[in-house]
Amino acid sequence: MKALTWCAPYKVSVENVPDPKILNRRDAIVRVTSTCICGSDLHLYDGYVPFMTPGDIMGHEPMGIVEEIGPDVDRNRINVGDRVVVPFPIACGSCFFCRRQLYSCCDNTNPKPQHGDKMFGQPTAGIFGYSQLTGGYAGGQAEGLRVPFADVNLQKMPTDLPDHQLVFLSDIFPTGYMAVEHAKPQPDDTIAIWGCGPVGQFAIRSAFLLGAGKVIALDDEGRVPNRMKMAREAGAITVDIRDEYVYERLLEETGGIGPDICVDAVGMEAHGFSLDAVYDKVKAMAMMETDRPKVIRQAIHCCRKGGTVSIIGVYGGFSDKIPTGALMNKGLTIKTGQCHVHRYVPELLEHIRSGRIDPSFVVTQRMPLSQAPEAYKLFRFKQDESIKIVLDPAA
Amino acid sequence: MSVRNFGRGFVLPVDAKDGSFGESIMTTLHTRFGPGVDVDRGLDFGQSQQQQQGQQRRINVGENERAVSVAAGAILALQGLSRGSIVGLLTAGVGGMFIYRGIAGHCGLYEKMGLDTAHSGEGMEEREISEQGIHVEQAMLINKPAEELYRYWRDFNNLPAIMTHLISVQVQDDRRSHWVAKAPKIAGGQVEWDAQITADEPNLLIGWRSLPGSQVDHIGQIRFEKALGDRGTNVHVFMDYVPPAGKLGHWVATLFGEAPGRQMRDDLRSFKRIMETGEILTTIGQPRGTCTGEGKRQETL
Amino acid sequence: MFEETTATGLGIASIAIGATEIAAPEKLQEIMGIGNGENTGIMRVLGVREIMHGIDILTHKDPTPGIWARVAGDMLDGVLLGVAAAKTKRPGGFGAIAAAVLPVVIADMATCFKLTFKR
Repeated sequence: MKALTWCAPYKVSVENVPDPKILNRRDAIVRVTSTCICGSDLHLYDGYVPFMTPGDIMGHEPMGIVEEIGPDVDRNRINVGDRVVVPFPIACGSCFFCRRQLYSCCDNTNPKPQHGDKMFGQPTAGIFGYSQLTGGYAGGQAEGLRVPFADVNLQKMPTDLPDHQLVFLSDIFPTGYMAVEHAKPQPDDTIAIWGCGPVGQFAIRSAFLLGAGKVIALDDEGRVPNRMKMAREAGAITVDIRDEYVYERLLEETGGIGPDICVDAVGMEAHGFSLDAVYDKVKAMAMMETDRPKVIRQAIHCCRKGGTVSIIGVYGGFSDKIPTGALMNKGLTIKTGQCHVHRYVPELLEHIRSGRIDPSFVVTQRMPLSQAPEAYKLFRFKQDESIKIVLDPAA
Repeated sequence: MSVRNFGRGFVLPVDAKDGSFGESIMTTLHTRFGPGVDVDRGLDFGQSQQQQQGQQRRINVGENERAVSVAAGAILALQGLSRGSIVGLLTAGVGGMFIYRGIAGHCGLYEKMGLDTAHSGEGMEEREISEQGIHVEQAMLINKPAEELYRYWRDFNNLPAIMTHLISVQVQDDRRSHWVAKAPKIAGGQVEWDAQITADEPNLLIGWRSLPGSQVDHIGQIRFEKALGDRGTNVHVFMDYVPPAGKLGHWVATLFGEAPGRQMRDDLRSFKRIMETGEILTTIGQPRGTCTGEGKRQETL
Repeated sequence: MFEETTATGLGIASIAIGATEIAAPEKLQEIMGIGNGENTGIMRVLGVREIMHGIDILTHKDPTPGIWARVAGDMLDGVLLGVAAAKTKRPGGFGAIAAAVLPVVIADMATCFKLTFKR
């Protein structure tokens, strides 16, 4: 089958690889009909994550049709022919964490837990196509995908909605949603969202779905005007991080107290123009700091006292100079995590069915899988032209 | 070995057996030099002697070797002293050390290396294994009741499935079993031992030890404790073992990434995965690319 | 003169034999057919002794005390060989080693007497 493999930083290629096989008794094989490139795939593309090996198949946002199921898959839940979305974290359903719906913290799905033990203290769940750190699973940017614990992980989808409305349930829609939801928004809240990428876009719309009073979206107007426009189309007020003083603007918009919830939908490769951003860049180049936490610093600074900072942008290692004084003295709450996708799919599917949101707004291109290397380049270097690219393995 | 006391501290071995050459010399030394010399095989150190000499002074040189050590030491000492040179002094020093280690039965070098020629092939007492062996302990929370975990573990035939370092386990009867495990290459690549269950409290704990004559002396215990709330069971494994190539083997193996603590954690994790989900997920056999060019098919990792 | 040359030769031989006994006692035991954990330690002790003899002989002008020590060592070795001979599982190998040792013993004793009684 065809699959997109990582070869080196900035080098991915579509290759012929063996078809996926049932390896454990509760596996299923899914024939992929649509699969996306994620902003966090760019961290791999850029070589920021040191645990990739040449030949790894990438991709963690697939959906498709179940072609084969293992002998112990619960046939009351999943059968051959089902149309399914595959969440990016792999859960077991039985451990301490899955029982508490912390699916991305599953204890049992990372076959290489030593990395997580060392880097984080305990290993986290396996993730499709996201390096040895998350278990080294083959990913979904391919014609077929093997999914472990199929009866726990595969999310059954209706047949009457097109792929482009459903495929984002694998990652970015629940992620944007959780970014706001787990901060427990109130109807009169002002929610500031750093990052107008696809996750940020869903966070904006989720904030309104969850009844927020006001949503402010921040990004670089000069670099990504289309993304800012898309944010405004959803009803957000936008702030240009390059040309405006973010802190002052946020205070203005909130009557001087700061936003109630501050969402970091940017992560460790934050761009920035201030002194601390330059500091981060230099240190990262000298390999002395792995993450660039510019947005976290700004969010802590701007957030209202007693507010919540929600971090769902991806970070991998260590950050310097986090304003712990502000954090502590202002009584902030920090909510974070890789999205526990399984928890949200039912209610989000309901939002889609009811017409309250049409997730396909975010798609800017649909390209054949064979052109995936061009798609990556486009997504990486022309971020304003491509907001979300969906790949078609059959084309 | 039995001795007859011919009076005035002079004893001769009666009923001489293999190895008694050394024993007879040692008995003579024992009577000549008094209780400072420990003839017994280390089973039961006299209280006061043990306290006087401290934990370090235990017998770790075999009987025959001690006798040879004394003789060789004497030769070297005389050789060295008959010179007046530095080399002579050095030789005499070495000779003196040999005489000492022969009489006392304790070799500092052996101790550092974890070697023991006094007790090879004989098996060690459990207390000795705990005192001298490497201690490994790991705990793991498993979301299943203690009964299920105990039942699975008690059937040792199940263990090779969860312990990747076990090659095979043969259960011989209610108490005994024969084990074969992989070992670091410097220890020969494989170790075998016979084990016996020493404690068995259903749903609470299982204790076992290797039988004397095993390649690796060890004692172990697994305990099942109900965890707080509805979290399941805390499984706690303790092991003391004397590694095949002495303590030296342990440190070298650690260098090469085969640390026993890590191994045990991995094994407990496998146990948890089998009990909670029924299987241990693998990526072996999954597709991957080669990055070497179009159309090249690569078999799986 | 001849004695001194022989003495030097014996000194070198000492070191060689000693090194073998320290580095490969298991191999030696295998050849001699006497395998058991304790003997390894003994061989190493003997190895150290041999090496000390060798060093002594080679670093002093007058090798006599060293050769005397070698003779004494040969006595010890002889006793041990005698005890081991009863237990060997490989009489052939054992005999081969004993036969190899014999000329050295003879050389030791001859050199020893020559050196001592030359004065």
